[in-house]
Amino acid sequence: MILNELLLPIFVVLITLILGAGVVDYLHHATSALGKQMSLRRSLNPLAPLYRLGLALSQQSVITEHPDRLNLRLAPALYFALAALGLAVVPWSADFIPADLVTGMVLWGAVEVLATVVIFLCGWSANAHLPLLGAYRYVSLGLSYMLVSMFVLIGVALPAESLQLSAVVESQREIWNVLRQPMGLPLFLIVGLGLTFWGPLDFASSPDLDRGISADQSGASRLVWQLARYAMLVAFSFMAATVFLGGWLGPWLPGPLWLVLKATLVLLILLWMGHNLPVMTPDKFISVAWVLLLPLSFVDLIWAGALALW
Amino acid sequence: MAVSLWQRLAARASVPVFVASGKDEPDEIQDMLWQTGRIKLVFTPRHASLLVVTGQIPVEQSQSLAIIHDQLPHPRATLWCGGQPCFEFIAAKRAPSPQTLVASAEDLPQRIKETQKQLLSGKRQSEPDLNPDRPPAPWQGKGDHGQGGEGMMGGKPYGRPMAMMEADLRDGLMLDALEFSVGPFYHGLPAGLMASVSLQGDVILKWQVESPPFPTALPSVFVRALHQDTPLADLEIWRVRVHLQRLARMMALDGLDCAAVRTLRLAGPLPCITQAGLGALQKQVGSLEKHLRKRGFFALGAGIGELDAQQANLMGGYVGRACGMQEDARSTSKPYQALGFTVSCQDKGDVQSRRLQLFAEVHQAIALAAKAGREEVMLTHEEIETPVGRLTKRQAPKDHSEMLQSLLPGMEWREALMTLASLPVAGATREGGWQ
Repeated sequence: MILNELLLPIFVVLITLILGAGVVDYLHHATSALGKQMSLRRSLNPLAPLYRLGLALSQQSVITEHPDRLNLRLAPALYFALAALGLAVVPWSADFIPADLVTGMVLWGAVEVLATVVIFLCGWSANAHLPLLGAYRYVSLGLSYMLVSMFVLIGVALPAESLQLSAVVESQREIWNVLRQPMGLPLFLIVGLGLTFWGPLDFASSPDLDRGISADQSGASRLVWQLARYAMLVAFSFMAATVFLGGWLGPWLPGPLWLVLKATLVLLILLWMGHNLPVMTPDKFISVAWVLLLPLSFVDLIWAGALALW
Repeated sequence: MAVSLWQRLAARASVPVFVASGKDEPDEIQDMLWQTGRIKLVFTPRHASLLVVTGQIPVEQSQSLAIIHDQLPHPRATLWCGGQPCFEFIAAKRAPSPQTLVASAEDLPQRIKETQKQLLSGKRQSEPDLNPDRPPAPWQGKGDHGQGGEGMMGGKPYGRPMAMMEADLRDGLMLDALEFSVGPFYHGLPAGLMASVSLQGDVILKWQVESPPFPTALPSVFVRALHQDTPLADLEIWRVRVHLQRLARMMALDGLDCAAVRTLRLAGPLPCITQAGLGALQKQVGSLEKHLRKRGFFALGAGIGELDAQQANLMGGYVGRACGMQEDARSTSKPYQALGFTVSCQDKGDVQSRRLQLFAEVHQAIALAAKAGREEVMLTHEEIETPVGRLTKRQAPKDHSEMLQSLLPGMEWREALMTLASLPVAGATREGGWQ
């Protein structure tokens, strides 16, 4: 009982996030090196994440002047914990769901909101200009994509008539939500970019701020923040695969394998966007989010509602 | 000293390097390191293991360099390339050791990798701090909490300014304003530029130049054309190169690292390009431009950093032409007229127009170089249009950093840096040009 319902789910969630973060690191650097036309052997070296891990652990963790030490240390742990909470409600098969909450979608919504607090905490507690600016910037833009997320997620809950993720997966047995609500996945991917401040929505740690909230991190402290950020990318990919790509459903292969394959596909799309799309200016993103994305998410919701009634 | 497993693994990782550029350093070394495998250029010294100082650092900037040095995490080391170690920096603790000097840029990648290995294996000691580890100013002053401001805000506790309420530029609302200094080695600014900045959120309230950027050395081919017959094709090829390097820096600032490195790979070998290679280059630049257009590189700059006619006139060069001004020294030169040169222009004068203008000039310069190469056209002229403005025997392109004080306030931080990257703010010098 304790093994199956407590220890195994915790183990699966943690191991998925840690191994997943390693995979994200590998894929991110490999695709970047290939894009820069570096040598194939070096670009695809599977041990490269271990080398970077070694480098991070060999470097000193510099502490800024008079930081809020408690919050500085708590922020990455909390961000990782949020990723774990988000992944915990994702069903791996009909029988294995680490935490099968009837309000699983609401929990994911809470993860998105609390991530804003944690990311701000990380930038603010360093007591340095550039991290603080990155943190301010993230908070000021957070609402723009969180509203989109809310409408898109309500859209996928409608055909399932439930906020439980296992029910959302079951509702896709005939047709996946990516086909039933074609605008949903692209909009949700934008939410993912915002949640993980990745690629075109990397406002919190963009190059113009010398990496913003990460600007004054080094060594192990930078490593744990990076781990938490990659873990959130993994959790988001699993969530997107679950609510739009039919989760564990699929022929021939075991359900968990289908889920991993679909999540990897989402991850690759996010990484591709990270390498190929420029970081937007905050001002332009605000306009795009409120003038284009939010109305589109309304349309997506109306479309989903009409289909559910029909 | 036993070498741990982590250190052995770390020795195989890419070496994170922070580059501080000094005087007369045309970013060539930085561009070369960008393209080198197993070296990773980083934006902040906190992420670096090695500090590479290129060019000569003026005495007055040596303290800033010492602060950058102390921000690197241990184990760390400094390598000097293309300039003498500045005495104030080194004399603080020790005399310059031969280990820290790199004779030529070609040796630099290898020296970087060797130095990192020595640091990780313990064969080389990590460099100690140059400044004492204490607050730059004591926590003293007026205010309720002794920080020197009002209430719980403002002041400079420990020499670090805290936010204080000021009226917003756009609607007059009282919002937190944060004052601080940036430069002279901030990667988003031209090397040497130091400014005192006041920010409200992301919006710049005030931009006060504290020291102008270091003058950049013009490629020697442009200086030579003032005095003696020079192959016109060479001038145009160097124009392509400098424009592509500028575009690559803009891409890097936009997070398009892969495209930036691809662009630098096109620019790097250009001085040795053959006539046959120019046709292929035209195609590659066209495909790069198409790639960037699809990804929104140009559209991103729309409406940002728009210059008025006076500012554009003052800057001249491609900046003026991006603003619609038909000013180009090449239009008065007979060899160029014989090649059918016409001035190409944009109309809006914003970052988007400057990006488009640079690409248009790259295409035009490749075509001119191909034609001039075939016809072996030579040029000597009293006015030369360089990639950063007009050059005469008496005058080189000037420094325009003062203009930033009126141009940047009101812009968001990111917009300001995009604007800066699109302008040749630093003055040019004729001495010691690149070969």
